[in-house]
Amino acid sequence: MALSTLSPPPELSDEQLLARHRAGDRRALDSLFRKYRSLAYRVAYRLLGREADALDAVQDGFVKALTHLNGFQGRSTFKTWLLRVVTNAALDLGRQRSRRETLSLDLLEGGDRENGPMLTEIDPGQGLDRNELRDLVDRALRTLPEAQRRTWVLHAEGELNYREVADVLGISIGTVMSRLFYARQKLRVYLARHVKQ
Amino acid sequence: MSLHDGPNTPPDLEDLAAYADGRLSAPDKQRVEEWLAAYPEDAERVEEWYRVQALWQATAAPEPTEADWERVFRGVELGVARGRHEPAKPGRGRSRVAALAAVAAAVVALVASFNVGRVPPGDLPDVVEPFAVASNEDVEITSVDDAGAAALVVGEPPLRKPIVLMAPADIALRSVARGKEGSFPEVRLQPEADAAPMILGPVAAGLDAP
Repeated sequence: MALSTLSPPPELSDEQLLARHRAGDRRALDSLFRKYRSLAYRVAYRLLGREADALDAVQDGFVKALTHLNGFQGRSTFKTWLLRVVTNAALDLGRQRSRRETLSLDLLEGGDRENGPMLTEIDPGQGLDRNELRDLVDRALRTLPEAQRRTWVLHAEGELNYREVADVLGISIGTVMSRLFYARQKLRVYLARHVKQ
Repeated sequence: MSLHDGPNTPPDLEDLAAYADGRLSAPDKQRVEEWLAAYPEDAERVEEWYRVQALWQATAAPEPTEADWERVFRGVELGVARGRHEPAKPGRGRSRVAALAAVAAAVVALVASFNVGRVPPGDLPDVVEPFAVASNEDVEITSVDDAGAAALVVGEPPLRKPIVLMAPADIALRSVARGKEGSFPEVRLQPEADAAPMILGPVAAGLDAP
């Protein structure tokens, strides 16, 4: 049955949708997927930098989140549980990918210091190539240690507040704030080297 | 020191970051703004953070097509259905991996011992898509030799969770041929369009009984 033939269910909470999903209601799964797919994808994309990889991570993350529901129940929301699983899936995928690729971060960093593009403006409305900007931000993100990168992406892209990020990562709010601070500083320094203000 | 250390303490850098994120309460926000008005170097720092945010927002992920989402959703449905039909059982993972590995090894051995030329390439079944041998739930490293520990760079130590050793994309089924005993592992596609191929090996290969 095509999704388009399914009538949307009434507005339900995540808990209600999960209960219906467990009872075999396909529309409930569709609703959960539609509700969080973009958020999950944006987070995965920031961690992986590629659309296709991000979609793979979203698929993997949804499957694992839904087949291991006992891992979150009573301790977090479905949203934070899903983002936790999706970020794990994305980072696993990134590690596999980096093993396949021979290009090391050191080479990448060293190379772009010498040859990377120097952008003249931040404002994309000034006719800059958006792909170049994305590439620049992607490279800046990869300079962060994994814990900082994950924390930053969950906060900046996953729309999670400090408490939610802390819950997802199992760390204190102070640690979240500290990681965000250093991540922001490193991004600022890296981007300042490549973006002429 | 931070805002929360007292009414007269200056904001620290984390307070400034929280201000840039819009996460401060109204009174704290006002105190930070008063501080920034008096200390232009901190105001410039916050401005730089705003510029990072602007660049971040300007480089949002390209939106997938509806066809992409449909494909991903079908994958989710299929994965969830498999998860429901194959609930994890304690101790099952390793034996399943062993069985699958035995089948995979058998296939590899078969491929090595019988050259592919016995079946003209044009006649090979169209089964060259990657297939899943094991998921990360199926594999658990219980110990690592000292000699191998340095080479095992995965996750953040200490590693206390299963890791992904291989993904479907890491494995490709190139061909299948008869083994010495004459048995021929059978490759079938799952009924669903996007399903991975499934290898049915001889019992001698070590398959678990269903």
